[in-house]
Amino acid sequence: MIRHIGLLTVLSVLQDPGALQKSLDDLEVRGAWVYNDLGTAFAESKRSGKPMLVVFR
Amino acid sequence: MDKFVCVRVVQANGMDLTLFQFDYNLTWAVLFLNSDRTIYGRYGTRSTHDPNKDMSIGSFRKAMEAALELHKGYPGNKASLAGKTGPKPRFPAPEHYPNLKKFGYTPAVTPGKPDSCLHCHQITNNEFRLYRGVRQPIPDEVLFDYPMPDNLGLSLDPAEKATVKGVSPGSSAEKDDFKPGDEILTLEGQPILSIADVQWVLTQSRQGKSIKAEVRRGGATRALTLSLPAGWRRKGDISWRGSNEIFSPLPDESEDLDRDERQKLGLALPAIAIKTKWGGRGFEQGDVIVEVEGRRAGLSCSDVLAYVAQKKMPGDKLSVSVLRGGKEVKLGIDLTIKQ
Repeated sequence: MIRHIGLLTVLSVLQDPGALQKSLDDLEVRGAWVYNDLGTAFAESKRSGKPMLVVFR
Repeated sequence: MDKFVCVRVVQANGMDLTLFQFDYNLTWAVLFLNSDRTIYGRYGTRSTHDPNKDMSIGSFRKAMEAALELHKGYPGNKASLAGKTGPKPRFPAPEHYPNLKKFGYTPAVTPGKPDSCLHCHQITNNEFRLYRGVRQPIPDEVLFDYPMPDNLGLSLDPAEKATVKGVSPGSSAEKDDFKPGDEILTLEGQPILSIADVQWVLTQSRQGKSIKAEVRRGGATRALTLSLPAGWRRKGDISWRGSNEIFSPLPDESEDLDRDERQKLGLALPAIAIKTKWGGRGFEQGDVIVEVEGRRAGLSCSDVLAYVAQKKMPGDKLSVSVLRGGKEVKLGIDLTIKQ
């Protein structure tokens, strides 16, 4: 259940660009990327066991 | 990419500076991390006005593969990764710098006006500002941070993780027995994923005289020592760094004339020849600086910036001569701290 909640959190970020992303007109960053939310990325990394790739741009 | 949790960070508001230490003047930088905050490595390097010269898709891919290998071997390799996390920073987050307190922990978003976003380079800007504000020289370790291995005579291949492409004759690296083709595996025991990882070890070598290196040569691994001779940091080119704007008397994007441009003006090396791309501060677009404080030779654009950062203070003047419309014009540039 917790696993599914984590996945839904990520998917919701991916499917609905936040206000900052819209404001910056940065809408090409989609797909499997977490946008400007390190907390979600850390949680997803811990849940999935995958390492994080953090891009500062 | 699907083997990673990929995250794009677009602003530095609230950035944990204990964890996220990298060259803040880069326009694009990457950290590979474990979810427990252990750093596997960094990617992203720039040494000149050309932001693409030192990076490639190929070397990025190789750095990613190496990060995945480290992740597979974790936590057995945890001790070797400890040095990839930096020392305690001056402030825990950028908005703790006195001049950045106006920025919030998270940016207030106004559509079309993302002015509240704190930029990474503002961290270095405000580190510089702390010295300029009390009229102290910016130390070499701060002004020349993330030095390139080229300063020691080691040119690395931008298509590889950290493979020696060339060794300058007479350099300390040559005396240390580095050879073209050497693949740098570790420095100070840290696994090396990229040129950025080499820069990380170099920038942290604040007091050291040498660095322990492990290289692969012809299939065998050998231990070498990379010496750090006096003044080695100062050989780097800082003229491309945006954070110079805090103290620079020169218009943005000023740089040394290239060989052809020098030839046209009869300003062969070692003559001073710095072109100003823009006007302002007494300069006009297209001016070529040919004299600085009485000197006409032996100073690059980077040297002039370092001279101002370390020998001149806010409120001083910088005396220069420029070529403008075929004539030499004397200028006295007021030195300030950019607000």
